[in-house]
Amino acid sequence: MPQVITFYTGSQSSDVNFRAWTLALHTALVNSGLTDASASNRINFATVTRSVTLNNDSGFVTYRFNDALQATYPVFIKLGFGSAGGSTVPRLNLSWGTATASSGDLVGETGSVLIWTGGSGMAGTAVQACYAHSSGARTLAVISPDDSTFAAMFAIERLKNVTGSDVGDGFAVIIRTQNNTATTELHTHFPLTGSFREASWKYLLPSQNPSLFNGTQSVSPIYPMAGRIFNPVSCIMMVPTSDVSLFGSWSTQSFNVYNQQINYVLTTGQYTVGTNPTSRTFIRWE
Amino acid sequence: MAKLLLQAPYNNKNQNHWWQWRSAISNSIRSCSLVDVMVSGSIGGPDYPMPTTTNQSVGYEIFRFDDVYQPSYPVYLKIEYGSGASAGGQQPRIWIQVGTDQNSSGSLQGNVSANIILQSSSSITSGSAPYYFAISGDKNRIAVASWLNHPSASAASYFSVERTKNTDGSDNTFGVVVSAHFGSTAFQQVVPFTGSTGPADNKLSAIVSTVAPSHFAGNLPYCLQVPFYGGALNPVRNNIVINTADWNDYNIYKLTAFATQSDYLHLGTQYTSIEGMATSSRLLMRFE
Repeated sequence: MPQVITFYTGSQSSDVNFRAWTLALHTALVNSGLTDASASNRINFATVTRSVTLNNDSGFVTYRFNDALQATYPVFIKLGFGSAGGSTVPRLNLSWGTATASSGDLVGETGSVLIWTGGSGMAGTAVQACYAHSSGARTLAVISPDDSTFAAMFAIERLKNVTGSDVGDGFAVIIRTQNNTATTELHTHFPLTGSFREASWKYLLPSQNPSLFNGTQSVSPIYPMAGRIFNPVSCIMMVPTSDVSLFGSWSTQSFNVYNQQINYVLTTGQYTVGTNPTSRTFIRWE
Repeated sequence: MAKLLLQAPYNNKNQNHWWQWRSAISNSIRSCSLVDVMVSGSIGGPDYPMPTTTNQSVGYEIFRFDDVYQPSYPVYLKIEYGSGASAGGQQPRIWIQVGTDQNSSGSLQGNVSANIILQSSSSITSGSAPYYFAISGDKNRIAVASWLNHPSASAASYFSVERTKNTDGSDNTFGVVVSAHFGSTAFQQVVPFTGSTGPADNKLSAIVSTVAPSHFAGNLPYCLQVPFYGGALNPVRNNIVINTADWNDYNIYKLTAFATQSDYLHLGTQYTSIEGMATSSRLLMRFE
């Protein structure tokens, strides 16, 4: 379960630049442990060109989980790379599903969201980064975390039982798009069937901000919801904003999750969500 | 274990009304098996003088738990009765405070919670119309919703006191959780038996769906209150927070908490902004 950082020049001013950021994101995900599902009509990172059709993808890659549950409860992820409101404005199109068609489209229980939807385009000279962490049963990517317009992230993870083990009951999708819209979507096979989207991340913190008291402070994982509250997933941990001074950006912390010490790293202030308390985002990083 | 539903007016305009609402609270708490400590200076019965001016506490009572932990880990609840902001002392007001000791002359000792004013500073006049009180408790817990269907959120109030819990939902000896709601504001605080009293939160921490309606495949999400003492403690059992939609006001729901089914009463529309994270929420109180 490695963690990977890739860098790219934040620009879509040319086809070369377009290939650079698309390949950087793909490389981060694959090198972190997400499996390339190798659809036949997938993007060719060496020859792809920017889409001159606006709000359109030039190409895509499909990925899949790679754990023991994949054979019975498959999870597929698709990233579409393209142009938003102008050919120099990148677009990133995330979708997920429980099966794939020969066209490369995801089918079964599906959902999608535009991670990058527009804006004026990233500054041509700024170096951007993609932080990725994956395992056979989860993936997350923090994309352009220092860019006030394009900072975004997503995480997809199987549901857990009470001891934190992965189960085939479903999977949670946690999204923060470039417009700072935080949503979660739960796909569940058992005991309920279907999908349910929350308009915010669900986590448990006190109103104290900072929360530090008596030598301890509050941290919370994300709780998927669909008609009930499911056991929390592990990709993301939230802390009250003012507790950040205890950590420092990009500092690594070990939190106890399901009686395991798991390493997390604090992302930038772009990933500030919620109210009472406003909260900051750690990502699993190990 | 007891539950009571009764009515009393929201005013101190005459001796009868003053006594009706006081006794609705006081007698019900006794019926729920808490013990009146009968300290010197306790407020008296029907003839005890009414408040005569604004924001006036005229008397108090102190109750204690009566469970197996009380001898070693005592819990005391002080309730003051008096008047709010309306002229002439005609508007009822309740203060509550919880402590781990008391001095037999009306002061809580040891670790104490904030002294919580359950009716806001809003000046409200109200006639002789009665409004509902819901009280539920046992030797180790109490929950009181006052004037719960009053048209003003500044009149409707709620408080609950219970011990902190183990992972199986049984009481432990870490401390006491004080929870309240008044004037569209929620409150929670942990009073430990060792160490300092925890900071007060202006919400009952819980996970509540943002989606209205929040039901899915015939299921409704709900969440026990989770108290914080720096970090999160195990959930407590008096209070459940829900999304506004999908649930019917004043209904009683049989819900599972710590693998046990308990009855919970929906407190209606005056108990809002419970959870505090930009979610429209409502409050259910344990009612059995």
